[in-house]
Amino acid sequence: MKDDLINSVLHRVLMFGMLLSLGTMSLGLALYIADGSGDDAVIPIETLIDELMTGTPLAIVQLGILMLIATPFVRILAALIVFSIERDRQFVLISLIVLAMVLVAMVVKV
Amino acid sequence: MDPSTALIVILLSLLAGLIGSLLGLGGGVIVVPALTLGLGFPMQEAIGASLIGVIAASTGAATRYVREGYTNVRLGMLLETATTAGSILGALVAVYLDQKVLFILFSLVLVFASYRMLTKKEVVHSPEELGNKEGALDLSCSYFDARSKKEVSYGVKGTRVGLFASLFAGGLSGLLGVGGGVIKVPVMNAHMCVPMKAATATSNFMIGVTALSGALIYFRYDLIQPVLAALVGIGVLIGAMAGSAVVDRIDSSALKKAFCIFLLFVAVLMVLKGFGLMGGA
Repeated sequence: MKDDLINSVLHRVLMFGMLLSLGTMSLGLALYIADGSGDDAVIPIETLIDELMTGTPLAIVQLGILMLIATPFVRILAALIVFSIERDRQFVLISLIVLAMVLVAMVVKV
Repeated sequence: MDPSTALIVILLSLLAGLIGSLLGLGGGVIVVPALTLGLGFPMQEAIGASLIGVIAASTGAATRYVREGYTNVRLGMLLETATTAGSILGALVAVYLDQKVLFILFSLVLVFASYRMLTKKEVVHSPEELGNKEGALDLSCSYFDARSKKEVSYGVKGTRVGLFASLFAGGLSGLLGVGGGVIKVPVMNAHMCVPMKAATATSNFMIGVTALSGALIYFRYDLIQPVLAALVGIGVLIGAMAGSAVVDRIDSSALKKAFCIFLLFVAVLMVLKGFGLMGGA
């Protein structure tokens, strides 16, 4: 079947992203509850790495959310790579358009 | 967030994921009313959290659908070019819209979703029609249907209608935090010759990327509250996985009818809430 490669690659990417983000969010929430500070303000993306270094529970929660959001994104990249290997030019182009749309969503602000 | 609210959020999300996967609804249709009507969260924050739940549910279900080959990856990626564009536009509008308008639009979606659930019937295409391929892109696909123990092959037509419907479905997703499957699935099935099982799996596959585009915008407007979103994400994911494990073994038609009436009731409450007649909006 022509789609064997793409299906098995995407299945693995999705499974990995799901388990990683689920684990990270759960860990973060458990530490957050144990910590008991009750502070739940959004941590700006610029300071997220610093907060992670100091082990702020809320930063770990937010990292888990970012991993979850990143999973479909990585899935686009994986599809792009598989279509490139298969020399399927039309779908390389389509993958690039979807990728461009997500990049627009990352930067657009009105 | 206090512990009792957190517990209620995660229980409601589990229930949303479970019922959603049993009835073929996305979790968003349940999560958003539960958070706004039930717990008094602002509409935009509820939509942001719901988008995270929608990504979680989509990813969880997609791992299974992709492995079993129900998902038409090529068709999904083609239509994603339109759902992502719609989602970006929808999200940019939603962050500036008055809550009242969002409540009213959401209640319309609820009415449409319950109507679809009651009348949903698979359009079965003839073998000649299924073999019919048109256009420059080869989107034909096949999967092994476990129930009939047969390989089902189909060609895809009507990509223009599909792209248009996807733009609209993506718009709803970004605007209201739902998946938009209620638009895409019937269009793929009736107008693009895609069997229901493949249409459902392909729609679900697209929802992750669609909701991602919307979620990024909510994220940058600080509308994704981390604790709330994580609770919803975990709850919906686990609920959806539990539901999808039993969905083929139980008859959900009675549940479906009861739930339609419940959704219509929720739609009325959403309108009342929008007009400030229920605890203010």
